[in-house]
Amino acid sequence: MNAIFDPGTQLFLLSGLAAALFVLGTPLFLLMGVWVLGAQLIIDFPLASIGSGLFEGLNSFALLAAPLFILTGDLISKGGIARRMTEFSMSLLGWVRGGLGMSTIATCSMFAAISGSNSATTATIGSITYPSLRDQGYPSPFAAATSAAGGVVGIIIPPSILFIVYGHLTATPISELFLAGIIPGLLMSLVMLVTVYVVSRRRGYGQLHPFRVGRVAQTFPGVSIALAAGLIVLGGIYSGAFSPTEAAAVTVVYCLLAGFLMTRELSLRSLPNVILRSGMIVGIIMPLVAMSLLMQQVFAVIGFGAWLGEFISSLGGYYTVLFVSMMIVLIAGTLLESVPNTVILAPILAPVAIKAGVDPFHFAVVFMAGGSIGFITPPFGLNLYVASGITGIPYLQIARAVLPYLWSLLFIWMVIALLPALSVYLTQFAGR
Amino acid sequence: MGQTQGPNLLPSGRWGRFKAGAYRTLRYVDAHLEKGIILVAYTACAGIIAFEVGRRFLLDEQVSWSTTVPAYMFVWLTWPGAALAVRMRSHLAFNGVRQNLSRWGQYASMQIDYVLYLTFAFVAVYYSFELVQMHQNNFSSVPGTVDLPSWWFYLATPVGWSLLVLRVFQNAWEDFRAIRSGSDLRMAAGFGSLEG
Repeated sequence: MNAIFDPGTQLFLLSGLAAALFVLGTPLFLLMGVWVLGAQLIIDFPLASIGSGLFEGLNSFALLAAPLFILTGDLISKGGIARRMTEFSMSLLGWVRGGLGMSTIATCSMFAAISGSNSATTATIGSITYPSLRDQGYPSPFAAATSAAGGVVGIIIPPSILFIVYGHLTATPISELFLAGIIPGLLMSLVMLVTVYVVSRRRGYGQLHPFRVGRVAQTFPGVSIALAAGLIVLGGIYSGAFSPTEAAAVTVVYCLLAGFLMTRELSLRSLPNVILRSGMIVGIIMPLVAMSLLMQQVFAVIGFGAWLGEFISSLGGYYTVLFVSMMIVLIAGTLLESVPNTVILAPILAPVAIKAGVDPFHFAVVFMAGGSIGFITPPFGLNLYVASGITGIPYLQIARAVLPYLWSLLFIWMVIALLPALSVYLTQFAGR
Repeated sequence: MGQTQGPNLLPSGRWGRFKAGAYRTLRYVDAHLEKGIILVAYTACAGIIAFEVGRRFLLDEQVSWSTTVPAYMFVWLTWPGAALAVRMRSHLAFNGVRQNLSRWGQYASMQIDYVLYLTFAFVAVYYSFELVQMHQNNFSSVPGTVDLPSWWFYLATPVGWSLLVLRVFQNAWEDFRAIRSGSDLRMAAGFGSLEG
């Protein structure tokens, strides 16, 4: 018996149904799985590939770095290391107008250099710095927005959980991706430091505190614990001592020891809860990765990637492809969270961009920087939600207060897109 | 106001004590099943790698399975983690529309999710278990080891998805009771619950 619709129309209807269910609130990883199941039935592709894909899609030593860095982030947070980083940067920048805001951004960047998550950065550093920001004359929405914006660099400055996922899905080396993110990540931090300085100076936010060498010296031992962790991660990887996954595992053990023996804020009683919190986040993120790989398999069979590539390429050359990709990432970032954005869009857009002549590492950074800006773009800016959750300030007030940061970040994103050397330059030192 | 008298739940006799013990055990397993697996798998992932890196630096030796077993344990971490996230209703979902539906609209949309979960889980368990059997029948071992059966690790997918099904039934039962009693339905946390 002939089907009423041809396979193409059936796939189109299936995708429409999936989109409707998405709007209705069905969990995304489930939708992706059901779409794959439906598509495989339509194109008559063996369902056994689902059974193997759910295992083999995750069976990767390189991808294992992601859960380990998730755990690192939680250990830094619960082990009191993040608080010490904040105290140090406050002692260093308190004398400048907007210094406390700047120290929030600086601490977020330091935190990002050990962990690899935007929202964890905002949640951890924001909850520490927000009360001080508010007490020192920063309006509450701007104080909350500063924490939300500061966290944006979490997935750009290495290590980055999303770079690991991106590398796994697009077969791009993770060590080089980490290197590619360093300069753009620091530039993003820099423009946010300038933004908080300019805004604070114009509007008279914050109080000035005299610079005291004694205070800096007093807080330095605390931050040295974090610096050592950063050294293990980046030094270990780029000296060739560790792979990214090994560096992540060693950092986990280091953060454990630091939490138990140095800061003494971790205990055997609290440890299982820290591990379980990370475990549930792994259970949320990693199924999306497995489902994305199954979707890619279907895309390859039906020739969707090739079709989309031809379509985008037909619009123009290098700059058109790059610009269209950036627009897609930006729009998707306002609607969706960065993990689904990455698992759905990266495998589709990266090959198209590379075919158009965009350097793979440059595209990865442009993609991820756009995705990270999505963390503070309404209606679904995750960091805005997180900042609202930890401060109690209404979401829309934070969304308005974050605008100066948003414009600065969009500007630097354009610069990063137009100057590939910013992303590519450091990758030449990989493996040396 | 006097206290309301409920049914007598105190165990009476040997059979009563057995029932109470079994109930306590069941409650404990229910609360800790995935958590136990996650703790063991996470610890194994980080522990094996860090320990073997240490051995490489200090003794200049490293077992070859130190890259394969942790990657396999990662699968044992992921699917039970996914089951736990189902129970906690933390999976990523766009919940803006659902939160504004009527109670019955919310209930109906949650039932659609459960049907989809069960449909996909059936395929996932069936075919992943087929893979387990294949590895078992072939006596295949984990790369880097001589006789560590690989099916122990391939079992992670069917077990994880079976746990997920169990959690789906629990949530469905919870929702059914909530809709009948008129209390609030427990909704997914939405985007705010995710690490990025």
